[in-house]
Amino acid sequence: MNVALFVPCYVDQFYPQVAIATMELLKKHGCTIHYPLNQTCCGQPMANAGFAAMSTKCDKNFIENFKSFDYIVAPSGSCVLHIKEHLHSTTDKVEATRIRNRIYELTEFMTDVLKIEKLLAHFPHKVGLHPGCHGQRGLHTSSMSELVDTSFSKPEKLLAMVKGLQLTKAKRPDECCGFGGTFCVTEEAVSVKMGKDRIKEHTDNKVDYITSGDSSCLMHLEGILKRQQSSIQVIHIAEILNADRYASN
Amino acid sequence: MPAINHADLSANFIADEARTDWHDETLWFVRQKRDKAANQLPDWEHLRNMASHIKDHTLSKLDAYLTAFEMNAIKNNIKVHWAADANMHNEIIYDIILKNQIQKVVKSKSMLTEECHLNPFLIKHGIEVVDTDLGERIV
Repeated sequence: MNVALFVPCYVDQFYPQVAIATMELLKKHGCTIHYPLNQTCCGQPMANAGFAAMSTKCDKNFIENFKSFDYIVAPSGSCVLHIKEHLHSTTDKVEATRIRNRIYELTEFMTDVLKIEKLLAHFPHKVGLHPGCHGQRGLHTSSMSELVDTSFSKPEKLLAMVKGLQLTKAKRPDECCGFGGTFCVTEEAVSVKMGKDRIKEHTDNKVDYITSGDSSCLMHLEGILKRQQSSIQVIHIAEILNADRYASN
Repeated sequence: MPAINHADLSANFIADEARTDWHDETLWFVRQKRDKAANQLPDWEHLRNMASHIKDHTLSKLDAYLTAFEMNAIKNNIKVHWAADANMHNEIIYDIILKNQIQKVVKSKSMLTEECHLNPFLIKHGIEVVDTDLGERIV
């Protein structure tokens, strides 16, 4: 199975270990990984700030880099949702549509396409999950607590397969961390308070790590944790699902 | 309405963290009660969608429903006033108060009168206004 790895720009710059973990994890499960070298930012920051017209060159570049792959996978619900909902082209509509239908966030790809039922991962720690809004509400990687619906969670299902991992439940399981891209700049006070409230729940649960499918949420929470001099660490879910190299057995 | 700077106002509000937490927990308490009630109805989402469609339908045909309401209200000996904007709404009420030589008003809480700023308008004209909604006093 040919899979093109789409690495969000901030992951590339700040959390390269997340991209490496994603690549190793997919390889372990039989994927042939391709990394189109000329990929850039997907254009989400411009589009979300109301300047969608300024992201057309990003769209063009994305299509050039990612056409003709069976699947495109990224360790980010946020960037995947942007492509899924906003990738357009006036000159190559067929390929733009194909990419929109072929792009997956990592946990949905592992659950829905690879149909993973077993992992070799070992991570003997207490972990709190922060589901990013774009992954949960946009890509439906888990059910939403405000809906009367059958409860499910693709990231939780995968974390349950990790040996030694103790998953804790936050009191408010699916509230936004307050990052919101440029929101954290334009509405700093609200953004920080939302992050502090999420962290308090994980602190009360005495977790060792907070994990998420989005490094952007984790970056925001990490900033607050550092200022609080907290011992809680953040880790992307790809790093946990790939954590078998230190397996004790 | 004057333009407001939401970021500055919220920063002022959040500066009092204890009050912010109290506010947040109060709203979350309402959310939990709502969840509890909603989860007792298996077809909740279906009913919720239906209610949403009824609202959309009503708003899209508001002109017909308003005139039908007026016709039926008149049949029941109710006098109906039409106001084009908030100002006219307030003037109509003030006119009724003047004609009846009233100094004190008790009224139920209504979002419409709140959006029209009726209470400040009446107070400015020397009328004493008491809202009967208990929540107004608590919040």
